Amino acid sequence: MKLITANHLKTGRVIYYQANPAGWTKDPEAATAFHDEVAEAQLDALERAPGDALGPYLIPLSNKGLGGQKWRRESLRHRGPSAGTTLRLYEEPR
Amino acid sequence: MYRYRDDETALVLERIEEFEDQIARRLSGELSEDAFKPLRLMNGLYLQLHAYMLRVAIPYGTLDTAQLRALARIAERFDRGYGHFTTRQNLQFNWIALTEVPAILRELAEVGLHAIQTSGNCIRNVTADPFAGAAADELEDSRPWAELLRQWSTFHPEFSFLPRKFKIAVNGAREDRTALRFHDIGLQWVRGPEGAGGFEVWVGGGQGRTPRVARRLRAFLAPEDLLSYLTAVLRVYNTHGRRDNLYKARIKILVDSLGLEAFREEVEACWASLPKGSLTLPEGERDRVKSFFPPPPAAEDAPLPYLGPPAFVQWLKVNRRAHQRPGLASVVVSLKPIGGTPGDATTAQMVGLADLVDRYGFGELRVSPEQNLILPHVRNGDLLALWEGLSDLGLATANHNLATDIVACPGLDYCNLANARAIPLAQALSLAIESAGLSDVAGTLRIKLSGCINACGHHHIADLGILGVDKRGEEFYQITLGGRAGEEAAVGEISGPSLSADAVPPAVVRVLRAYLALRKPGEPFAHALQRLSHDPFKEALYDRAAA
Amino acid sequence: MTALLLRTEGAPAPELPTLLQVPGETLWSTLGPETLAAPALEIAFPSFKDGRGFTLARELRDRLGYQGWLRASGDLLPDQATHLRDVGFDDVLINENSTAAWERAAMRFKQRLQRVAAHDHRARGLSGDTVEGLNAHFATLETEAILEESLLRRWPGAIAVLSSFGAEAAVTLHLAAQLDRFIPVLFLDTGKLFPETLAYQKALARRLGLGNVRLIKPAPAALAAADPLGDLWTRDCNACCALRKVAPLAPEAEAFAVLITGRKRVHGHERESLPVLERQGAQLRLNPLAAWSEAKVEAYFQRFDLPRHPLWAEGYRSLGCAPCTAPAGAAGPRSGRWAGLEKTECGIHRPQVITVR
Repeated sequence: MKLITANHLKTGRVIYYQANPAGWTKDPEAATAFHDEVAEAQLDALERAPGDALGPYLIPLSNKGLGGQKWRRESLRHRGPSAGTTLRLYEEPR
Repeated sequence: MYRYRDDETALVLERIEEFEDQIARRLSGELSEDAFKPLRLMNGLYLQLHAYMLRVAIPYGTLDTAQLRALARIAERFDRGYGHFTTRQNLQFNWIALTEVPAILRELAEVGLHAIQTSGNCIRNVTADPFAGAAADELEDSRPWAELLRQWSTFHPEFSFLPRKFKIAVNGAREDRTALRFHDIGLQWVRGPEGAGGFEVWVGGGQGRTPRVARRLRAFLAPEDLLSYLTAVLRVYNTHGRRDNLYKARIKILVDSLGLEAFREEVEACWASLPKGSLTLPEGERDRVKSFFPPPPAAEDAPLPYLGPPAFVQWLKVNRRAHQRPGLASVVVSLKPIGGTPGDATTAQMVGLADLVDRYGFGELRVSPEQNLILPHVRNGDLLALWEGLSDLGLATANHNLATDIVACPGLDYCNLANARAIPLAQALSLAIESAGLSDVAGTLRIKLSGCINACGHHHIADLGILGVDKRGEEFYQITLGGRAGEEAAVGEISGPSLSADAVPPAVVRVLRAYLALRKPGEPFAHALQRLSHDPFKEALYDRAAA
Repeated sequence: MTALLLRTEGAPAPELPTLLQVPGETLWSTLGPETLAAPALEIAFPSFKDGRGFTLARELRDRLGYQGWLRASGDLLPDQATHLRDVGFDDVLINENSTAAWERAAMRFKQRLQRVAAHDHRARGLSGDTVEGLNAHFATLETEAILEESLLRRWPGAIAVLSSFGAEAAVTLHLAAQLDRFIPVLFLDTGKLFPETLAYQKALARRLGLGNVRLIKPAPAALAAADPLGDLWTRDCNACCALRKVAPLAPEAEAFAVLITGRKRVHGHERESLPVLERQGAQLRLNPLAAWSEAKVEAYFQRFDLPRHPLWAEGYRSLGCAPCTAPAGAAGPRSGRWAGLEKTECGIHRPQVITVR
């Protein structure tokens, strides 16, 4: 199973694709998990007509959902930085 | 400080309008991302992990307080209340929205700053000695030359679509604090055969995937020929540099493949073909630019203070550098608090520092390639008051060039290209070294940390370099030893298998302890490595029982 | 597809023969004699990110001496219009529907921060026009327009200002600096100038941001031979002018097709019928202020708050070398020059002419 993710054109923020209603959400839990072939097809469609989504790509999911080998980077994209001055100044990413 | 003329400001404002137009065409869909990307990169706007990142150019690392205050205001209004100073003397904002960029650029333009050519396949910010105009070992102030190169390279019609980025460093001091032998072109001020000053030209240095020490291209270049000669170098690179492979596109690869001799011949032949005249720097123009960088202010020859709190005395010992002029000192403002994020400064710190620089620093500061700030001119009599002000801001850590003066890139917490995080490890290392009581004792020892092979943390040129890698989804760190950036430039050598994040701080502490045990009195780490070879240090690193 | 002119704004497009195609990635060293003999070449950019075409254009001009028409084509962005213009392309092939974007982009950035080594092929001479024809054309234009056309389109890279940094020099220099701060300014440092002139030269250059002032001095060997005691002017001031001005200027001026001077008809004598454009030997002289009155000059100084030469306040109206210059008398602004002698010109503008006053 895979998620489709991208960055938002105007703000650069992380977004995830939701099939129904079709659109982008900030919450990966709300995003649609696709079977592999469907994910590829959906990604192709989005690459042809990206709209406000920059550089969409697929995130492979582990059996239990969010996780898996790529998840360290994806976790940071989802939750924000684990370290740095941002954390000291703000409670949660704007 | 160089002051923009009206026509230069007008040029920057026209460019902002142009970029605004390009953004509008992107948002309307008229420009695809593929077409827009090189244009946005030329304006210093990257897409990072969480948001756009804007890299503001700080020409040859020189700022005045009006500029620092503007950066603070922008951090507050458009970002998250802080900025990050980089290893190329620039500043990065990490939480930028595309739609706000024109407004930010206009605020920057009002104080003579911009983000032009801090990214993309063009000539980047020309870096210079951060102690230029103040250093006791200075032969020639590098800033006017960096300024001349800045003007020459900005919006250059022929060289804006190079095979890859191009980085130039200029050094006018005896000691090289710019790592010029790790730049595409490094320029070292020297005395020529008849005693006149000019440049020794180095080519093809770099870090990243294929670190290289530069080769000497020309022993002496007369200063009036600076622009014409570099035009020839760029012209040869633009023609012959590879465009088929991103990782083989820098000039260092071209020099390797042609060989230095053949490359030199190409450059000399091209140089001979250039019409002399418009590219020759007349003395009048050199004098005009130099006039913007007057000698430092006179000061009464007050002695260095020797009384004060122990912390002040320690700070003076470590963070002060001797000045050309009696009665003055240069001071390093450390952005590496123990356990902090290297190179970051909050809005409050920037504003507070601006006030201190106005009061005690003649309104001028510099950004060092080690992510610290510098006040080049401070009266001896003001040092105590300055230190007190810095302490209140949390900017008085006395660790310049010491083991806790760690350089680290933003890493996977912020950067799209990273394989591993860098900041948490830098923080843990800093704490471990400090609590082991080793920071002061070990003396000059450069630790630099990069989150990926692009080496923005400059780990290749560190005494102890750390490179983050991804092993099967986990963060591991490779340690290198023996990197050097000055005249005896060398790329650090990998010491063995990579270590997990937890294992790194104790391993580094062991290496430091081994160094202290093995060194001759006053022997720097780099020399100890040469004398003893890396073996005893590798043993310590991996905790292999030594005899 | 349509061709957008980059360098001759407003002028009609020339009739072009078929252009020979040269891919942008071609190595300049592989171009053969047939290519170099072609009257027009089209450099096709394979990708807008591939900047080799810009260098190829410069190698064609600088290294290979190519003087024909250069067209750019291929995958290019309107945002590259000024890059193309400033490396010496004459026009670019674009899609009709992007004409507006290209025109907007091409209009921008008339100023550049740097000097581009743009010795333009058409800059030498008149390329088909006549001096009379150009004078008639210039007569229809304001001074600023004459200079813009001359500096930016007709003779870019091959035009310089010849300036004494004297009484009225600031006007010509200011006009030129608005268009190109790096236009070469030739200044004859004869060794006999008023110290005030030397100081004024530095101050004015700094004020106007002139980045390319060339101080031309007589060769020490020539001085030692012809005027070792520095008193030649007392015996033969024509010879002294020749030694200190005419001779040193000649080799420097050779590099340029056109020299701009500040001469005016109201200066009198030989200048009374001064045209805006005239031939001088193999070169051209452009006198954009030829028809200006003293009042117009004064108004210009006021309007732009330009500093006057320090000796203006003492009655000097024309400034040459100290030994041969006095404050102007009633006979006109140049009457202080070589006063009491038949000489009225130093010779750098035309061969020595002796007039009876």
